[in-house]
Amino acid sequence: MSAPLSVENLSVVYRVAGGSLQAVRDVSLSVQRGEVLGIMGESGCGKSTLAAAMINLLPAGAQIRQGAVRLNGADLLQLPPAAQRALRGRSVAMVFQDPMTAFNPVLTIGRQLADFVGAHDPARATPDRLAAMLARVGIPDAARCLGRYPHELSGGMRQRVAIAAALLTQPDVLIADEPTTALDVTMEAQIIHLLRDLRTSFDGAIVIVTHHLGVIAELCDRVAVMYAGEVVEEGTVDAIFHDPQHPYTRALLACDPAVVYPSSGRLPTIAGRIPDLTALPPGCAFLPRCTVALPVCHQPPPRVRLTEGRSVLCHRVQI
Amino acid sequence: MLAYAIRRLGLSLLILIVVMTVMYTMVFLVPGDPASLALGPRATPELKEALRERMGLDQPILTQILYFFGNVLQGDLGTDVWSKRPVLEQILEVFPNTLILGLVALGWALFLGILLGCAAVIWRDTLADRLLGVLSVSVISIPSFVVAIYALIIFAVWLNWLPAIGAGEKGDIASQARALILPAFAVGIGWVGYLARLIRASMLEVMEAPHIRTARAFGMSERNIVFRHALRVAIVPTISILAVGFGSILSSAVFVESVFSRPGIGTLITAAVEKRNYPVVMGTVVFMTAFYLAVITAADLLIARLDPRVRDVLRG
Amino acid sequence: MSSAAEDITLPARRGIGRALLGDPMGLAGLVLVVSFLVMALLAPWISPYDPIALNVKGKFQPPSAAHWVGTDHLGRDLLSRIIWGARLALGISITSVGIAGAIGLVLGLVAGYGPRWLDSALVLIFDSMSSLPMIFFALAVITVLGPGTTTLILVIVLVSFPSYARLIRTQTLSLSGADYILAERAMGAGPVRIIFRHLLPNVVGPLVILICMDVPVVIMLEAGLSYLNLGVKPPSPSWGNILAEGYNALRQAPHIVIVAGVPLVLATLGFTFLGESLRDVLDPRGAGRRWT
Repeated sequence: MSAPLSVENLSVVYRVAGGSLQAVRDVSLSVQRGEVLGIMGESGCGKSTLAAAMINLLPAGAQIRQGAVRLNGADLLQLPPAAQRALRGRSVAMVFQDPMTAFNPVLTIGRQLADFVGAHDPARATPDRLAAMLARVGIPDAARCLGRYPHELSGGMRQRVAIAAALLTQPDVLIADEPTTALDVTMEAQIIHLLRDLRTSFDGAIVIVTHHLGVIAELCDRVAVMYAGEVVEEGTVDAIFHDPQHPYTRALLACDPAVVYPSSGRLPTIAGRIPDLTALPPGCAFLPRCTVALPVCHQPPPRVRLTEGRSVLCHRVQI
Repeated sequence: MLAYAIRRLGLSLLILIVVMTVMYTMVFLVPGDPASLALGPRATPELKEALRERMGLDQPILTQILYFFGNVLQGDLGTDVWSKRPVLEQILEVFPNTLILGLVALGWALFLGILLGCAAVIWRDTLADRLLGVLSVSVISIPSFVVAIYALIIFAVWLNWLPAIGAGEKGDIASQARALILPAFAVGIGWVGYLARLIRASMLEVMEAPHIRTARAFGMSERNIVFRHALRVAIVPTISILAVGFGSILSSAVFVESVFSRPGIGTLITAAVEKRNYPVVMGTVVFMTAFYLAVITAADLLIARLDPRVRDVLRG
Repeated sequence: MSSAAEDITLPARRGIGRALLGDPMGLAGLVLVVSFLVMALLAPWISPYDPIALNVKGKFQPPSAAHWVGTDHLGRDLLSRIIWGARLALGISITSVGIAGAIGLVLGLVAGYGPRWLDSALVLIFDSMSSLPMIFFALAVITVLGPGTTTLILVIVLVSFPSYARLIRTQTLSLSGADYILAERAMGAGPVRIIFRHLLPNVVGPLVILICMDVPVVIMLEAGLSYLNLGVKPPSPSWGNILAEGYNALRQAPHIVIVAGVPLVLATLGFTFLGESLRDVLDPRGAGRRWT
């Protein structure tokens, strides 16, 4: 049986003034049913572009240079637009980053949910089912909520509604693009709780895109670490967190705010900045910031497969 | 919703009161007084005194203003100095003509404007789009009375297809309609361009909004997205603009009515201005202000009905 | 509006020039505006005849070598009248919007930065004045004061300044909440300094655009009122007057009406194109969505 979602050698560029910006470079990954994959990286690493490419709703100016996005085996990118539309909201569902702008301000929640969930199959969007799912995600007085307008709900509430909408479509893959980034800490904790809770009843695959280590640790089974458009390391959460191999992953984990250097009392950081994605050097993208770089790092690094599902993009790592 | 409606109506009433007060007292800011103004420079002092008494100008200002407000509430907007007819009666006689002209002009401008705006969205960034763009900016700029004059010259004088003067025979719908064609064209033409741009810009902006992306992510059809989601949002600013624009349509009507010698508010007030017939002018201004305020308030209430966020915003 | 205040940063002068030149519509507008400005400024020198010199025997002449666009019902040379008409139209419009702009600037700053009660009172006045289509208010003032050039200018000023004041007020309100203003006040800067050094330079930009967009409207208003004999008094060569005279003489000399309309249309087109272009250049946020 093919994986619900599998990305193969995907590359996405943005056309900008003065060239093209390589946002996603030759990325391959897959998620199995019942599994939660985390895509982790700092701002600008390409993870949101990757998420958008997974449903092929990229902004204007973006171009898919190569690769495939397979939903249950079929390549989404090769399908005609109508067929792609048929898969969205049925095989794959997405929860967006900013709950404040994700909903239409002049329509009620109930009306929007009915339109979204019922886009392919109106029978799925009866008021009873909608209210039941809203209650399931922890919205008090779900029936009245259907008659409310988005601006009457808090950010956390809106994000719950978004998650409810996604689940109601019973997708094979649920993608959450930075689901807690726009929320404050308390709401964030609640959403993480909710997602962990839902794992038990949701049998599809889940992809969570985030820059927050805590979210990865709490929710994910496996994680792919992205840097400058590439997956630099991939593996189970246990393996990545306890035995990181790539220098970037190591530095990232060392930057955990929980680790405050006792002597200086300062937060650790990674020196330097992400490279210019319009003018990438041929070798390892992390080279300028790497503390353990070798001369050979000026060559493109190999993808080293340590075990099944565990790989690192680095010269220093040998099997 | 009710609280908002009351607040809104109250504000409009307040504005109307301010305008009426200004209108009434404006005459007193210049040397002379309404009586001299009305009678002209060759009136004798006795005549002026008599008129002054009749107009109640010998009373203190505040009393005069109160009388004025009291009269207005009873439907008395003053009396024409020359013909002695009540001003309100004259206004109501010709107002329907202007109203019909305005509505027909707005109607066809709206129809064509929305059509062109949507066409531009579909043909976005093509040559047709750019041409439409230049055209729409151009028609906005041309003064409506110039269009009226040229249209009259071409269609009524040279080609003799349509009437040049008047509003048609009473009771004869066909002739009234024919008399409406050129004036409505002249008044509406500027608006076609403006509305097309507005619709285009509004729709484009809405289609890029994040919530449209959400709709797409759920696989909603483009047609459903445009008509059920995008249009609902885009329409709100359009209504507001239309209401304000009705005022500009009325302004154009003033000139266009003169060009076509068409009975209406425009011809009424311009004739009164030429004769310095202030009661008629003032009465007309108050009437048109009240009407215009009513239109704007109705539009605001409609918007509040369509866009729930507006109701909760406190007027700062 | 508030985000417009944050986003508008006037680019370097060279940037404006280059951007304008790159836009065909803006270029056309610039050419037209400059032509009319030149015409207006040099009228006394380039006008072939005296615009009000009568020559009744030579009335209604069609275009010829002596009179490039013919003569009117009193034998006056139309070309000269049109050239002087440009002087009059631009003179009146630029003067009036200039004065209205200044008044609007002052009132807007006071309303935006001053005490709340003053703001509320001023806003009520602005809203009241915008509540009637300006033509009616203009006609009322003309009734009281009698038609004439000064009345016309006064009327235009009265009718225009509320929208300028509203714009300035909105900009001032959103800017005065900015952190750097608060910081200045915390350091003891007085209102005068804040207004002149910080608020004024930032609110002026949008005002300039609005004024430029208003010039064609004012030209149209002046022409329209003159057409109705309620504006500039004859024999002054307002384009509106010429248009009215031409209309009356339609049978005898159809060329007058055509000739009078052309400069009016071109002038308003020119200013509108230029204004649109300026707005696109100075507000890059909307540039991607603009329509040519």
